[in-house]
Amino acid sequence: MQIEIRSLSYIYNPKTPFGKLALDDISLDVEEGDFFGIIGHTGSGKSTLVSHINALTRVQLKYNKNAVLKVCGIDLCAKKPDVKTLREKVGMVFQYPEYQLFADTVRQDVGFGPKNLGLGEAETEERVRAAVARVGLDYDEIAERSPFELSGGQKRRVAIAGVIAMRPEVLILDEPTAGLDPEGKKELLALFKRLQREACPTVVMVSHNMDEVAECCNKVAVMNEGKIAGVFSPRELFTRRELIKGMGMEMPSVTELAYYLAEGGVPVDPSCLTESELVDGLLNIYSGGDK
Amino acid sequence: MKDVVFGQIYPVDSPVHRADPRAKLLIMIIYIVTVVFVPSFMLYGIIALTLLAVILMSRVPPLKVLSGLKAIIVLAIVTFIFTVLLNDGAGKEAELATFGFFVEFGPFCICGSGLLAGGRIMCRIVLLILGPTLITLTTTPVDMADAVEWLLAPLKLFRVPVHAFGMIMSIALRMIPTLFEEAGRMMNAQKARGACFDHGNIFKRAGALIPVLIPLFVSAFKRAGDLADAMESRCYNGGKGKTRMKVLRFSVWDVLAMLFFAALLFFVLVCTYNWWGWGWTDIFKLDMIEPVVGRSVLG
Repeated sequence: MQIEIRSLSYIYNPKTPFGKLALDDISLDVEEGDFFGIIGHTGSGKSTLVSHINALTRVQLKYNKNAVLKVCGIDLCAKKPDVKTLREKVGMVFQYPEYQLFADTVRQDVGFGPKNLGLGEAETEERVRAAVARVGLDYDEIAERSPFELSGGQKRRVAIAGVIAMRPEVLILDEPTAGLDPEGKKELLALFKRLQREACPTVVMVSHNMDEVAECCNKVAVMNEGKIAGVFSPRELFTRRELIKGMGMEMPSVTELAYYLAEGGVPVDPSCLTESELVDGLLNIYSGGDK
Repeated sequence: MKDVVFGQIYPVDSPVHRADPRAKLLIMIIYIVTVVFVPSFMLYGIIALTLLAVILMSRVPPLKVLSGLKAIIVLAIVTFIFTVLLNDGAGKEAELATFGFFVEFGPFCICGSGLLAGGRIMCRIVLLILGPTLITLTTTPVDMADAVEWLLAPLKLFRVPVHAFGMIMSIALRMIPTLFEEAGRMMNAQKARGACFDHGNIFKRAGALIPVLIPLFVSAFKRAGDLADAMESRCYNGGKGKTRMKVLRFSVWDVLAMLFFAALLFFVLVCTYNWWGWGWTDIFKLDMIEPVVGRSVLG
């Protein structure tokens, strides 16, 4: 078990009129090899939850007498958890990660993480080279350039490389494709899938883009007002149209299209998740008979 | 970072919150002048009671107001210590005669007059901070900036760009929480990459902030540019002919409150200087024990 969460709660600004229960008795398990999605409306507590996993938000021990939070075998409910090791094992890509770039050159920026781990020059250099290549950029061309003169998409890749260079066991992505064009989104998702296969077996992705979730994840937790409304496989989840709509979220556009087609009398499977599934289905119906 | 109470309004509804910000600003100025003139503990007590009444009226928890002191507690204590140590009152004999003690060590001494003076300075600092803290807890920064602009309006005659100042101030105030939030986000992002902000000596710590400060500046400039574009595209041209969405109006209560504080100032001044030689003003200065020079020589 990579991540184990039992009855975790979190209150923002306790004892003030701003007080708000952001997490309410959350329990979750993420296993090695999962591409785990967390979806939910704005303000449902997704970001608060994932920031616990990286100990950026500490467990409020006062309000969490019985809570369990274990990540890669490290107990985060302890008085003084081993945060340094934890951050080595858990990499976190924030929303708009390109805003955290700071160094003079791409090489230095990507090397910031490995340097903080206390790795030597040679090892750092090697990791930076590998990470930059992994996000699909040309190291020799880009290494000595300033990250601020790159394009938006390149900046984001560099920022992600900065996290991958730490070689984490668990990768947390918080709305990784926000603000990108459709092409950029697609490329980035392909990158994450490849990354999961080759380098980092466990990925947790926060998103409110259902298309992404349908395409990448094998398990999806739905959050609503600080509670987990359920953990499903994407196929299971998107048959529960009422649940999704009831929480003010959208269905994946492919599933939505299939749903309306089915409503209109076209005999397609309304639980299609990907474009190719739907296209195959339609081809079967309209040309299959004729073939 | 969490200790920054300034610019953090405590959002409840109360007469103090609803009062005209201009009235509040004027009252704050009158209040500060009053506190500076107060000569005795008894009058400090009266001011403190007035302040307490306003705090209760504002429905802000008194502890929240007191937490405004955190930032200056060190300053207040250091001021107290130095005032006590460096004040030798009316000289050793006179002090001994009046208070019965006088401790000397090297160039320093502790004496009754010094302790009283230190106490008064403490009271003064505490009251000086609490008043404005209450105002910031009950007034939105934007209202405050409007009030400042109104107060400075006469300077327009001298071609001072008062409107620009007001606008700069409202934007700056508006952006403080945003920048803090952003700084927090940047720190988190760099912490997630193994950065450490609470280890090592002061130089190391300052150096560790570079990965936070640079992105913060970059985004602040970007924000400023975006905001300027947004304002220009809405035909903002520096305030000429700009009307207000919220027109400020003094209510009867605002005027009464201002008159009350003006009266309080007047009262304190009369007690302090006693221009007309009234006897009753001394009642409020009973705790001002002045050692009489020369008396101890006789004794």
